[in-house]
Amino acid sequence: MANPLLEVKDLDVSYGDIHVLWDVSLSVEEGTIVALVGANGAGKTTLLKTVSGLMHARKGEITLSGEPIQHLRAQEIVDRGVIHVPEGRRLFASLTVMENLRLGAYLPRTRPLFAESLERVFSLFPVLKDRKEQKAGTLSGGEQQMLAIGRAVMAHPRLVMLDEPSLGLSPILVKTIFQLISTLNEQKTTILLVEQNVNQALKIAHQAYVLKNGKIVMCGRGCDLLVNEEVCKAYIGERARKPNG
Amino acid sequence: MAKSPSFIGSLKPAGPESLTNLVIIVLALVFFGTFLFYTDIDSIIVFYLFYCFIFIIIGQGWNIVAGYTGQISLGSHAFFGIGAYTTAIIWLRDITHTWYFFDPLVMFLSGLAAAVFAVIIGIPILSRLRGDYFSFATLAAAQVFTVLVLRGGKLTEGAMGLRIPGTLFEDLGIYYWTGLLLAILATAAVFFVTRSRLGLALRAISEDEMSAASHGISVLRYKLIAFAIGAFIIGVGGNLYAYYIFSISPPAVLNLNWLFYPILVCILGGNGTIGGPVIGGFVVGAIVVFSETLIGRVHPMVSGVLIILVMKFLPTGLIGLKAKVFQRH
Repeated sequence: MANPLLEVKDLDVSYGDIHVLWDVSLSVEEGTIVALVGANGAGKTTLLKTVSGLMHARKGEITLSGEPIQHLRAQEIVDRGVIHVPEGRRLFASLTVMENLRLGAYLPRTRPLFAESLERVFSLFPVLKDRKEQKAGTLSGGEQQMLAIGRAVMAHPRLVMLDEPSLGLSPILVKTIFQLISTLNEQKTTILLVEQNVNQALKIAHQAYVLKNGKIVMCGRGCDLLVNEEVCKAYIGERARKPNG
Repeated sequence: MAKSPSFIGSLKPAGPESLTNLVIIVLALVFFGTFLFYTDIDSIIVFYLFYCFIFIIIGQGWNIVAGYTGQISLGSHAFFGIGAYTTAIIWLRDITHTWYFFDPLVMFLSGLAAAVFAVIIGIPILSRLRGDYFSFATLAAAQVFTVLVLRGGKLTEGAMGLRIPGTLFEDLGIYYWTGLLLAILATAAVFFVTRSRLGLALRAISEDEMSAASHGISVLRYKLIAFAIGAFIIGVGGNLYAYYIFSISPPAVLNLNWLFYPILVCILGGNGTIGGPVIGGFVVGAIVVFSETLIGRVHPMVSGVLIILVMKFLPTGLIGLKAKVFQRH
């Protein structure tokens, strides 16, 4: 574990007076899938937003390949190859699939690689090729999620951060999306995955962190956490387990 | 604002629709390019078409900002006035030492002056405000400009305004040709801008600013570029109008009509489309020119009723009719 791609150390984040993250530390090794799981409101999305520069920390350090990035603006962090696929996808609905993909490769750094990235996206998601000229808003939920991930791939990312990629998808599509995330990772893309679908997330993750009330309460290999009873408690919540809760 | 249901120049493979567009464009160019050869130059139709061309020009200038970045500017009359005043000041002070009447250099400088003003007011306004507040701020900036002109001393001659030599007027021929050319250029400019990388960025911004920024698009810079291009086009429209009225004063070129006309043109024709402002220009031209001669001062009522009807029944503008026809087949 010599040189993690992304390292977060002792991160404190708050919205005004409301403290959301407390002393959060995690690291993402190059080429792995790291899952961040936890219940609603645990602070998962906040953590992603802080890494991508949409929010700023009170305290703590975020480094990318050893270089601190916590004071950079969102655009500069994107330019360094950290791509955030936000919850709810946020596609440009009235633009075509192709135009959305072109916007993914808008940065000067990514432009020369356009043709290569496009081929990669179309081989990962052949359905997008068939729907090239269609408006993004007319795609199905699963196709929209594929487009959102495809748009991130266009930016030639070093780290893709996916926020709830399974949100609002049918169970069969959830499975497909997780398979595609694994495939993407096999092509040497590092992934930080935030999920409420803990079961699926832990299955494909090399390393996982459990976030509860803004604190990391557990970490370990994905397959180890999957069989850990404490994990169930952490993400289902203790109230649910009490008989009269 | 309404998103384009179909606009000439979307990156679609050539289908029946784009073929129809091409035929319409060629027919229109042939018609307007030969119109003067079989028409009496003093006919009101020529006068009407000259007005239409001005409306198309300023409509396209407004369209590129409102239609493609989603920002409703209420400062068009300032850009129009700057274009007209720049023309008069350059001419009367003999600044460029060129032939001032329909001089391309003066036209360019008139547009440039409006674009510079747009950048100056655009940096503070666009970096802080969006939506309704952007609109109010542009209106306020335009009103400040009007006051500056009224208090401009020797430079603008206050409420009296500036007079450029009207003796050069022979007939409407040169007005027609220049208006036609500039209307084509303005439309072509919007066409090429919206099909370029810049246009893609603008449409992304109008859709979701946050998401656009997260793809590395500098939102402020692109909004500012669109605002300046729009101001340039409207400024050139002001220049053309100055050659026609010869007396450049606040009531003539800074009145609020020049704020409403481009909006009317775009809303009636179809905002955020290439062809919409062209159609809108002809309709608003007809309302202004013919209803003024036929029914006198009530024409603002006509345009008011018309705009309500169009917004109610055709929210995508008159050009939306075409999309409806194509959807049925």
